[in-house]
Amino acid sequence: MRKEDLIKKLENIKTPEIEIQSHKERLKVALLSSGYFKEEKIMNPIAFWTKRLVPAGIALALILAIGFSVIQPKLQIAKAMEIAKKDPQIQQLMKDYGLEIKEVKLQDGKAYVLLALPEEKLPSGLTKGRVRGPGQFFIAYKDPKTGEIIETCGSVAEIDLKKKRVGKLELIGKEKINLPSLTEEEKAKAIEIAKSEPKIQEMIPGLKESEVDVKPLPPFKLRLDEDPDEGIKVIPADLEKIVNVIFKSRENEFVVTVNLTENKVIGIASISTGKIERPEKFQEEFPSQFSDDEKIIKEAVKLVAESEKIPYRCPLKLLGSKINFKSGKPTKIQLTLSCGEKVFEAKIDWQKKKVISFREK
Amino acid sequence: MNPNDEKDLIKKAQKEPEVFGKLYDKYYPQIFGYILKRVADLEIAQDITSETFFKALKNLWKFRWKNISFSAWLYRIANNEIANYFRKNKKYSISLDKLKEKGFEPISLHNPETEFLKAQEELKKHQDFLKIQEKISQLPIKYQEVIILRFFEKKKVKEIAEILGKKEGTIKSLLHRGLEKLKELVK
Repeated sequence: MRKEDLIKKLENIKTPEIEIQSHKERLKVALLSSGYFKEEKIMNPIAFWTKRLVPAGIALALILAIGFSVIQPKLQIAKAMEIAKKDPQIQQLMKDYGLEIKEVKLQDGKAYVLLALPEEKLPSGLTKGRVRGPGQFFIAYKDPKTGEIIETCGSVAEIDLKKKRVGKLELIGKEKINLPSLTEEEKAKAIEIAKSEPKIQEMIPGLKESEVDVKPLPPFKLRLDEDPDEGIKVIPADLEKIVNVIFKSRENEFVVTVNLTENKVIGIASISTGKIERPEKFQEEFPSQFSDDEKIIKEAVKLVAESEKIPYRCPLKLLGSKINFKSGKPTKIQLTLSCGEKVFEAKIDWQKKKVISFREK
Repeated sequence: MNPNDEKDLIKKAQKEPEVFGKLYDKYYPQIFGYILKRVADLEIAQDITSETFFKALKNLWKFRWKNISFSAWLYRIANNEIANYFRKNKKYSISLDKLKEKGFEPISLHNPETEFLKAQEELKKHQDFLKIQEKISQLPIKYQEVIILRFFEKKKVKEIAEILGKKEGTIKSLLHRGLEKLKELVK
């Protein structure tokens, strides 16, 4: 082929002009609720004003003059962050769950480091948790020593600056955060906003006859607060009040997420029966939800073992697993297994209960 | 939108989310379209687009109009993310769909599953594009970038130079060498 012909071919090819509206919308909400706008302003106020208002020499003198009382805590904060990052347990949390250091506070010679998900990993208000319901953020953490399932929004590390080590590392369960309480007026307002949204009226059959409940959402974002009596504690950092309005009928359950600060519906989730738990049973049923996944994985491993795909006999060891869900039901399972020194990857069609691929990694 | 209006918008977007939303609405189709042409996979294109816009938002406060236009800046971020993907087959933690692994299902007023299936069907119809894209993707990244920006995004050499941060002469040279290599693959 001549180069000219290739150029002509490239110039005349019809390229796909595809847009996925749902992705566009979801990403937009995630971006706008990510909190970057506020944080960037806060991060650089000293640098910003120093550059613009004060010539360099005067700036240096000014900083030194203000100096010690500002710089010393900053050095301690930097030191605390360094100690935290070197701690193996914190490194593991950061690696396993993608946590990052969000904030550091000093009190009584100690530093308190808040670890939580970065903004971009927080689900948007439109996402639905299979276990907990829409708009809720958590990390499901299995304590490697006790096997206990811990539901947490992050961790706080207490650092001894003198001894240069992490003294305590505490996972923040949702019960340790003060959830925003709702007044009766707020509940009524949320229901009204949900019911008057035309799309909701269209999507929920029997809206008027449904039982209604309103629940506040645990916060997406956390921050540390200094309390003279209680010391450092974790409180919500969200400025907006977001609630779930739950419509229940015999056939189905819909959860409408309402932003009470902006007076609008920001999402709706349809909860099918089976895997999605009813709101009042979140706490006690979460562990069994997690063990449902474990049952699935165990059965998947058994299917692989019995499938005659393994070239030789050996005890299979599970190294990793992933369950793909569709409409709340598992569809495909991916397993990483070791057999002796070899590592294999297996894919299972869960609907057909069949191993569809098995290969050495 | 004229350039001066856009400059004002970008300045405001650094502080106001609603204004950033307008910029996003304007550039999403372009950036997603470009990424799709580069990777020819809807799911990966969605993931890389998400990563691109999050990076853009995170670094928006650093953006200075005089160095590069906003559009070129976005393309540059997209390019970097695509290059990361090709180099490492990187998993994008931002992907909204990755939340499905933990049982999160994204909800929007459009049904994402049907829409995605329709988009996949639409993509499959472009067989000529898919075939040539497959050949292009076998080239070194530096040639892929210039060929797709030139022929699929219809960018001029000057614009490509701005996006990639290279001289126009270099772009012409890369185009020439890239097309020579592509010719061998297409034969």
